[in-house]
Amino acid sequence: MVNTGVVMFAFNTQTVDYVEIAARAAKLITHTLNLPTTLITDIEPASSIKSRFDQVVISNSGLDNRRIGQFESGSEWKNGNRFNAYDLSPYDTTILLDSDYLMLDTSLLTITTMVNDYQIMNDNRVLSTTETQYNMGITSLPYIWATAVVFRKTAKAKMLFDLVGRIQRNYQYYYKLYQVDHDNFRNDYAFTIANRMLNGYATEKTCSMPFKMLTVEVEVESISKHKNMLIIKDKKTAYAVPTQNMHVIDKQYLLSNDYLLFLETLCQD
Amino acid sequence: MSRLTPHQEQRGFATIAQNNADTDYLRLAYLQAMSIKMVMPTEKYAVIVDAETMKGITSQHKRVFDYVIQIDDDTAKGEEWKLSNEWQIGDLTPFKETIKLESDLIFTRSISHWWNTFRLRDVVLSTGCRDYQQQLAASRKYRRVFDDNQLPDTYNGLMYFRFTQTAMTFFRVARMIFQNWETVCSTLKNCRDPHPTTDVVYALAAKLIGVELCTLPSADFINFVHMKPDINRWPEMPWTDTTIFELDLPMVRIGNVNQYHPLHYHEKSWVSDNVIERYENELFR
Repeated sequence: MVNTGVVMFAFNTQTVDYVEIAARAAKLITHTLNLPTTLITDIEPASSIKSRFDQVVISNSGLDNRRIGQFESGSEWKNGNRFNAYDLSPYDTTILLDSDYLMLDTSLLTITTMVNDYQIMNDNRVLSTTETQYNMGITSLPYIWATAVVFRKTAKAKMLFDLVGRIQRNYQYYYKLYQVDHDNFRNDYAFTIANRMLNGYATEKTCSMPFKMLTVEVEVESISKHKNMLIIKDKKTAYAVPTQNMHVIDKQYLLSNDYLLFLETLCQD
Repeated sequence: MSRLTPHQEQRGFATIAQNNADTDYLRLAYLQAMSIKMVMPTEKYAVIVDAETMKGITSQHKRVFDYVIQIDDDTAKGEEWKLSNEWQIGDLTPFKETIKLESDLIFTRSISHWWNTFRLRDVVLSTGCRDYQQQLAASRKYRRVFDDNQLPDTYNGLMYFRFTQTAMTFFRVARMIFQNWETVCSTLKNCRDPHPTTDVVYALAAKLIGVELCTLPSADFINFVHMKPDINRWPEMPWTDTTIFELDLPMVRIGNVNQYHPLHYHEKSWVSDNVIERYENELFR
């Protein structure tokens, strides 16, 4: 029997309680996939948090970083250490997730039954735009998304994570080699570079998820479910999308009572 | 249908290399020949040169040039960009079947299996081109005259022909266009080229004798990577100033992407002494 579970990294910063976000994500994962969850964090969490995961692993965040982007630009960002997921995961087959990835369908469960060593989210669709391809820099290559990675404990998967580690340790070299716009470490870029190296510097999408990720980049006012549709509202617009997994960038929303209420309603279904 | 000289081989690669004040095309042909011998060691290579360029042929060149052929009737004398001899390839090639190349194109892996597909036609012009990420290029910036005149999107950087009526007609038509360019240009929409370019001439020749006779649009792999900047969505400057390259011979990696398709590097200055030396070391070690 293959031992499958979900691993999330969450390191609190001065502005964002990532551990709480991960705990809320774990509730959704248990409800939707019925899989065990493991939290990897740097400080022993309170027992009320611990009880919401099957396992908690203590490990340091590995990197002091600053965010560049739409939300919390310039704020603290503890995004290192992801390359240790291979060694720290207690599962034979792991779904490695960002804590801001909401598990609303079972598509990743299907991926765990496939034979690939690892699969990464290759394509992204942003809710409020039509742009679909993102490059690491003006003259650089498109990047993939480390938001969701499914891997098995195989030699090739280990090589992927080892490479990500090497890239993190030598990021000042790799960001120049790949002509990345910013020199702050980003897991998406490190996984992109490692994945390319591992697949013969080719452009084929050999280790990609067969579907797109949906990212919600707007400041969310509310999310609700109506029959098979999700209604996502920002200050100006309501978006209706079929129920599916979502990458929600707005951390303040994920910590709000409105989201908690949505979660509880959903998990009662 | 006649030839002055009998064919020497069944098949092979050929290029026309005529040096001018700016570019040592013989050097580019030498690199091209080395790249071919590296990945397709049994394939033959012919270089067609004018009398002046012939003087530059060395014993080192002859290690990879199976045939060196001199153009007797040089119609490009006095031209800076010597293209008007291109039509002569049909008569001068030593091969019954020829893959004709522009000199600034190299190979990183064998395309010997393409011969089988080429044989579906007497003439095959490569159609479309690719960016360095190996994707079919969408840019039309350099192809406005083609679009304005509804010409096929063909490139002469890599083409196939065999000694047939169709091929000889194709080159005869190309010759007429080269030699009557002023008149031809005046009949085209938005034609601003004072001198004929081979891409436009061959596209016109294809249209005149029948596009269906000299293209294979369903074989969408018969094309090459083109390093002109806009094709790669890069600013208008030499690509060598925009991105990096690595030689992992026979592979060439540009911008961290392996160039599996034939590579039309276009930027002649890319062929530095170091690049030549790396190929020589790899091939002749």
